[in-house]
Amino acid sequence: MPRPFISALGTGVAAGSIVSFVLPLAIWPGEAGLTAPLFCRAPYLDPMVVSDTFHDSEGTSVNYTLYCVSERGALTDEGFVLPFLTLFAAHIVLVTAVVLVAMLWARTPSDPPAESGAVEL
Amino acid sequence: MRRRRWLRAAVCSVVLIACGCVGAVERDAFEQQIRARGGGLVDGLPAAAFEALRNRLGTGDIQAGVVMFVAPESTQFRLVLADQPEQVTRFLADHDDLSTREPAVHLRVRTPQRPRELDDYSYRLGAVSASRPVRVSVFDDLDGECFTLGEVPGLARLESIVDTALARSALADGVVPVIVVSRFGRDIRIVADVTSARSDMIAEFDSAGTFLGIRQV
Repeated sequence: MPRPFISALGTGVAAGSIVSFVLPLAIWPGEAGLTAPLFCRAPYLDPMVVSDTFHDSEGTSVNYTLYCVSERGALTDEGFVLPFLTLFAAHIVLVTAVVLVAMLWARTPSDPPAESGAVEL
Repeated sequence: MRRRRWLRAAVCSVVLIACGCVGAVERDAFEQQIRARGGGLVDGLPAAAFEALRNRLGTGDIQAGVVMFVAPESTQFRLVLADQPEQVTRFLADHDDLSTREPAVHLRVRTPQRPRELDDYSYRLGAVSASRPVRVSVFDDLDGECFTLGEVPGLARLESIVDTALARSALADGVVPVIVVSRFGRDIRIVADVTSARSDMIAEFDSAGTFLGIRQV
């Protein structure tokens, strides 16, 4: 396997893991809505990510759930695990692809100086 | 080196843009949106619930005393009725909390093999709950209270019932959180609550789904 691809894949897995665990769970949980084409079928076409906040003696916790909602408010509960795993895979692919393209671009050789063997005096 | 730094910035930008497209909503805001859309009280909901219950009980002839359709509102359950029948009062007394996160159908039905017994079921997200036995008094007139589900063809037009109730109420911000089906006296009635921040109204329909009237309470 070419070294740039392995390197890009390693970066993709590392960065994808960070992105998958930090962003959807802490900053942009609504990203799970992007998986709607995979989980939401007609007539439940509108994805909505719903947060439930719980306060107990151990602190505050938040659960996220992806619902697919119809025009009349009928809904299906898609949970969060499958959308989350889908995003995990998508992040790895995305980061790997971007890093691979970036590395290949960075390695593009500029015109090397001609080796004529002449010594400039 | 400058090009690499630029590339790193581009990578970060792509990831951030891909991640930040949409956000999550809090549960109460979500349920408010669902109720504003019609509460999930769709035409197919009664048929799906009845079919699931028929499969559970193994009989096509189910008799019910109370059928209740509830829109999502997990923080409270509120029902407003006029001339509330005794069987509805008993049903409400047996349930501390009928609030729900998803559109739900609550049914109080006669046990097919033992007509003097009643069981409660709930239907949510395509599944029927386990049966919950109901304490029956010798004074309860089950024959007079119960009706077969086939006697209420109007439930096949549940969306029309919701829309009519909202339109006739003329409430700007009205929603239909509950629809009750039961015998009011001798007649089977479909009663839809319409609530808003300023007023509560009750829309009545007959068993065929024909609009009978609406009143403010």
